[in-house]
Amino acid sequence: MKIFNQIQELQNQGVISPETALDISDYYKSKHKESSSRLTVIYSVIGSILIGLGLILLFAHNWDEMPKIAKTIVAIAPLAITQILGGYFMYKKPDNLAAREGIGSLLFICIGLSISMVSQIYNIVGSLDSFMQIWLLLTIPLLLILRSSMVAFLATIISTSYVILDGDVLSLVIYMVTIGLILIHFRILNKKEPNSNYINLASWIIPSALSIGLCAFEQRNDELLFLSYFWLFTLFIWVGNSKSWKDKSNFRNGFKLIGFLGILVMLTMISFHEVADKFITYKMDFGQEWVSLFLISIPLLLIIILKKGLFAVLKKDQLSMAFIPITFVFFFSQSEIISAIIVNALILIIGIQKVLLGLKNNRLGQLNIGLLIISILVSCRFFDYQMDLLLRGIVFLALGLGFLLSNLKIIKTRKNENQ
Amino acid sequence: MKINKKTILILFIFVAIVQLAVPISMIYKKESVSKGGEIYKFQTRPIDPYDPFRGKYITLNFDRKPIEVENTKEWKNGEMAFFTIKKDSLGYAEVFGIHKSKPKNVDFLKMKVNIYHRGTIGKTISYTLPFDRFYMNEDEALNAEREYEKANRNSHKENAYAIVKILDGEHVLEDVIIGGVSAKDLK
Repeated sequence: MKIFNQIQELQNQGVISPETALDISDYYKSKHKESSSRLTVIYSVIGSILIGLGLILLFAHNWDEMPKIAKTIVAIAPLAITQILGGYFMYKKPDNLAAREGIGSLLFICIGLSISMVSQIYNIVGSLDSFMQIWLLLTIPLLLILRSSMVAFLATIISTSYVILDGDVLSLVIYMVTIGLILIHFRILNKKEPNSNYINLASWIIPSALSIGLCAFEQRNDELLFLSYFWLFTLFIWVGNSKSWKDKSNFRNGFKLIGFLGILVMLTMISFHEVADKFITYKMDFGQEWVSLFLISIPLLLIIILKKGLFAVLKKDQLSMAFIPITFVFFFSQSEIISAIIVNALILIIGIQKVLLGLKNNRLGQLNIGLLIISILVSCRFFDYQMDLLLRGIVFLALGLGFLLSNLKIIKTRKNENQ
Repeated sequence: MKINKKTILILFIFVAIVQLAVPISMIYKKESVSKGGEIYKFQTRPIDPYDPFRGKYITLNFDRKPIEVENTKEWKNGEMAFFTIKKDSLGYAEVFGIHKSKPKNVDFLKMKVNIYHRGTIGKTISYTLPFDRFYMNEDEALNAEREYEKANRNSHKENAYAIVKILDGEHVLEDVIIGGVSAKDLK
């Protein structure tokens, strides 16, 4: 490796001592080992999935010519073989991550494959959701036994599709238990290996799946579901800002970004008076939506009570706290005008806060996001009200100048600092 | 909490057995119906959707007569009931009765109750037969579906029907006969 030549050179030039050179070499050697074992995991997962798919195609090729008994054997054999392989690895190498992930993915696919092949051979008509239900119930124990993140991802996808397709009480319960187990799995993994690729991927897949799954709670009170979404996105932002997440880059922190975007989009939506009007005229019907609201409120409350340090930081950020005025508007505001003022003021405050933070911390990204929020707010209001063209022109000019000047200011400060 | 290797292995074996038991019990149930079941011919009427998990199949529509009952109030829409089955004078299957509990000495199917006109037009209960898909090879399914539609356009009774075996309320859709030929042989 190139780095070892450089270490040698630095040692020869007397920049570092032989001991330091040895330490640095050892560090890179161990790092190299780590990345190669990560590659093994990736290869074993991809390999397993490809083998599974290959098997399907191979048998599908002359399926019709096969007698029924051969078809049933083909339907069961891949599952049985993978199970035997799984048993072997669990016995011989229980700590081999690559084996666990590979076996987990392959078993997950084989179970679905077996059931759907048997259904086809005997013309069993089952709905897609009942098929997914059995598939999930048979694979969830694998998550606990194999502790495989791939199984967790596959189960997230299947359970979310299942709850969306089905939507009755049983499916909601199965969905929540599955997601609960998946969350526990990733929480343990996050404590052990906070920088693993699985955690990065989970930070995107989990909030996306929860956002999609939440709409399965819809019964007859979709305004309340809207509020649930607001709380859910707030929860994502809170999690994204917690101790183990806050220092990760945006790319590795899906919770923060999805929560941020979710809240902004929802705020912009209710800033339109047609939506706000519907929003405040909801009825206190009892529906499953209350359950979703209740469930999301538990982690929010837990954070407020147990993580005082985190909450103190969150309190200062308007975006993280936007759910309080919105909840107030939802339950108590009877006037469309007051709601509109609160929502618009809230977006404006969030925008200004981001701009000020950006200027204070010399962060171009924050500054521009703040300006963008203000621009979106202004543009949206142009749709609502008939405004004079001259006035519109002046507002856009002012915004454009704001963008330019503030960006220039930061760049200038940075230059000065560098000098 | 550290669980030892042996416990995990035992748990894994247990889960593996359950996982295998599901498809095997499906096969066992259907095979016993296929071997010992009574053969019924269900008259069909004529569509080709695509189920992403199971490849192609032909969709069957059945000529089904609703069942006359004395009082539809006894039945809820969507509830499961036992529907008894006999053969008519032409040898085709006919659904003729509905029961809350398992009927004895007669073949039956467990189906969902559908009540369309409660108290207005007659006192009838409808149902959906639980076998409306016949799985086939993708290319052949299209051809068979065309033949099936053609056969159903003519109103002769022998045109198209499904052969279903029934035993103790369990069923297996064995074949679909279109114009006297098995759908599997239409190529």
